Formats: sequence, structure tokens, C-alpha cells
Amino acid sequence: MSFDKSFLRQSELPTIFCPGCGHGVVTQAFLRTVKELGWDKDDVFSVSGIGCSARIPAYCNTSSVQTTHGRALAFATGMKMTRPEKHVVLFLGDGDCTAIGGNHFLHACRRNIDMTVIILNNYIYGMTGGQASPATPHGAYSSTSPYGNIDEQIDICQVAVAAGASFVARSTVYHAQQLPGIMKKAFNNHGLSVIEVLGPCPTGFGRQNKFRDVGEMYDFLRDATVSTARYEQLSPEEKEQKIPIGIFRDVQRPEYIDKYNAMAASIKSRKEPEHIECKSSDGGQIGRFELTFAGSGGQGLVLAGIILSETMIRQGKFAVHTQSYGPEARGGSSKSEVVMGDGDIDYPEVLNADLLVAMTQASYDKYRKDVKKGGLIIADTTYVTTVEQEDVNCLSIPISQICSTDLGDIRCANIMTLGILAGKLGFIEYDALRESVLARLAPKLHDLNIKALEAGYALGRGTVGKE
Amino acid sequence: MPWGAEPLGRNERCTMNKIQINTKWCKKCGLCAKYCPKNVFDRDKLGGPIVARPEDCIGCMQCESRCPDFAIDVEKAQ
Repeated sequence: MSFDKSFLRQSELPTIFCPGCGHGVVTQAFLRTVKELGWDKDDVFSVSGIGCSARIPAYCNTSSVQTTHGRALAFATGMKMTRPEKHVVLFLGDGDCTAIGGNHFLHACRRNIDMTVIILNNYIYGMTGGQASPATPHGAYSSTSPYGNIDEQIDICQVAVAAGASFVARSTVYHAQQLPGIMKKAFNNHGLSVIEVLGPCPTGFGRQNKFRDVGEMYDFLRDATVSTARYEQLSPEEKEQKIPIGIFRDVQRPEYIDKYNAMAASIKSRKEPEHIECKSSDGGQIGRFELTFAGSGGQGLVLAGIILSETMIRQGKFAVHTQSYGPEARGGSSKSEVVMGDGDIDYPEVLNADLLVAMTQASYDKYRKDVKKGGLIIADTTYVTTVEQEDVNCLSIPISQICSTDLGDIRCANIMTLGILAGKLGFIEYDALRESVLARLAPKLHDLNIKALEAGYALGRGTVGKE
Repeated sequence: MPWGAEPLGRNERCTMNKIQINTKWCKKCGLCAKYCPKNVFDRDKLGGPIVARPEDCIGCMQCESRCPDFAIDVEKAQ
């Protein structure tokens, strides 16, 4: 079957690749496979990092992205998570994948996310002038190993197998006609597929390693490789001389997005219990609401943030919780931020707080300036003694004191604070909050904390509109 | 086939495969000529491929699939 040129971005051609470079062969095999599978070109995301291999998506008439060095897998993971129905294919070089992006590669394999990684291994950093990469063979010459490479070569396929990729194969550009078959299997695999394609770099590698022309490099790929089946029968001495090609692993493992969706579904089934009506007094609209709990370690601010976030999720809203605290278990500064919204939250941290809960004087002084104009500060006057009121509303309640005198335990101050928030903010459902508190805390603490929550709710309701 | 015509020889066929080379994209690496099993190509002084014996082509597509520059098009005879 003749190659369909409409899959090429013809305005970019001829390629920048050196004469005989294998990257073009892989590109053609990839585009042939896409056509054979009948995929829509726009549904294919070709992603690359930096290097000669990074040019490949530019020649593919697909949705193409070139990213930063070594980080293509991180970008691609994000793309696949947000658009799981698309086909994500990565083109990485040996240096891009195993050196700069080595960690991304390991963890993408471990996650087993449904993408295909095509690693174009030409044994060298070709674009930058022939420096040794992790894939440069032992003893080979390069710009940075002029007396022979003393490092041992990395076996990318074995690394991928060990890290947990569910489909791992190796081929070469000499075996160009077998490439589409392997790619087809990889694309159909539900999980991370790794294809290592050995190729020549006539300019960076061949010239320095006594290959007279690119044809000799293709001959080398033909002669040095044997199929995995035949490789097994070789003696250990012969194995040293040969490179196995073929499929090393083709198994079914749980896929990352499936696991993620299962987890999300299990939370969703928890988040909307039947007896909770998700209607709030102001119509349920939040927009984006940013809230900071600040105080000292031990006051339970992180837990308060988590419970509040879970409450929002129970109500069918969106919430992100972040926390920062000192190394001490008690004392030291502690901060917990919750960003709530009706829709997707693009940025997870608080930029301009709508509401600050300050539980110590130090945290009040530090974070007061982050509260937006017209925002609200809830200050625990047990610890916050100096309160300034400049273009923000301030609600002063001795929360900790109330807890220790009325309820007999200062530790429920965080739950009381949540009660106050529920009373004060229309969009927090008291019943959903109560469910979250019960779900998070040990049964023996339920009575005390529900009391604190009720007391806080009454406080919050009673002080609506009062500054 | 009219009665009495000679039967086709082993490497003969009614129509030939059509081999086209896009010289704008070709970088003259010589892989097509090197790996053609039927020696269809010659190379000019600068190394560029010339389709010298198209009648020998068996349509194995090795040149097309191995061309790094998408410069060869083999159209198989029907």
C-alpha cells in the first residue's frame, strides 16, 4: 500500500534530518499505522521533548506538541488524563527519555497509563553534537568520550519491563516493514507501551565510530540483532555480541485512568448520600472561593481544611486542599488552604483569600495582607489580641476559650470553626458538614465534636451581618 | 489474452509498478538503491537514485518504507 502523504505536514518538508537518519523511517511507520487503524488524525496527540526526535511531531499532520527537555511524559500524562479518549503517542530520544527524563519514564511505566512511548535510540545526543548518552555502548567513541565510553549502556527495554510497562518491544529502522505491526500492537495495548527503535545517527555516532556511510549502520542493525526467540538459544558469549529484538512483554495490567475513574466513582457514590439535599440558601453559587486557615501546629487546621474540602465534594462542588506546616508536631506555624468552586479549579493555591481564619497573632499578622478587599477575617481572640480593621470585615470570637470552658476540650476548636463557617457562609450545607466530620473522626470523639459543631453553627448564624 | 500468445515469463508482467522519486525531498542517502533486492535503482554522480530497471520491480516496498524522507512512491500495478 502506497504511503498516504496527507498524513504528512508537507509544508515542513523536506525534513531537517541528516541523509539516512532513521527518524523519518519511524515517522512513516507511525503514520502508516495511524492510517491502518483508521484513527482520525486530530484524535492523535504526538508529543515530543527536545532533540532530533522532537521534530517528528512537526512532520505529522496530527495534533502535535513539543515540550521541554525530558518532560514530554509529564505533559502527555496531563493530556491523557484530561482527554482520555484521545490517542497519545510520544517520540523520545534515548537521552531525552533515559537521562533528562529518566524519572518521568520510570514512573510513567509504573503507572501504566494508556499511552505509547516510541524511543528513538540512536546511541548518542545527535542534535547537540554527538555527546555520549546513557544508551551509548561501552567503548564507543563520542564527543565526550574521545577515548571510548567507560560507562555501561542502559538497556531501555529491561528498564521498562522492570518498571512495569505492560507492553515492551524493540525493533530497528532496518526492520522498517515490521515496525507498523509492532506499533499496531502497542497502540492497541491498554496501558503504557514502550517501543525502543534502534536507529543510526550517521553524523553524531557513525562518523566517530568508523562507519563509512549510513548504509553500513543499517547493515550493523541487520547483523547485530536477532529475534528474542533465537536470542534465548544463544550461549552467554554469543549473547554479548547480539541485541535481541521483538516483544519482551505483552501483559494486561490495571490501567491508570481506569483506576482513577474507579476511585472517583467510589468517592462520588459516597459524596451524595440520599438524605442530604444539595441546595444552599444563596442558590449554591460559589464561583471561586479561597479560604485560608492559619495558626499554629496542633490546632487542627489541616484537618479542618480536609473536612471542609470533603464537605464541598459531598455537595457536588469542587475543592482543593493544600497544607504547609513546620516540622514540629505541635507548635510552629501551620497553614491550610481550601479553594472551592462550582467548576474545575485551575490553580490550587490561594491568591487573594476571601476568608482568613486566624488562630494565632503571628498568623494573623502574616496573612492579613493576603485577604482581598471586602473579605472576611475570623479571628480567634483567645490568641489574636490586636485586630486592625482596614477594608476587611472582621469577626472576633474567642473560639478556643469557648471550647475549653463550655465544652471542656480545647482540641475541638477547629470543628467549632467549621461550624461558624457553615453558619456564616451560605454555600456550606450543615448536614453535609456533619457527615464529613463524622466520617473523618473516631467514634469516641463524635459526641464532643458534634456539640462543638452545633455551638459553632449557632455562633456563625447569630453573627451574620455583624462585624 | 489472444489465442497463441506467449505465456508471461517469470519476471514479466502485463504492467509495471510505477516508481516515482520526489527529488525535492530526497537527500541521496542511497538506502533505496542499497536494499533493493532486484537492483532496480542506479545512482547518479551525486548519489541520487535513478529508476533504471523499473520492469524488474517486484513491489516489495522495501525502498518506500525505508526511505527516511518520504521521497519514494511505489504504485503497484493492478
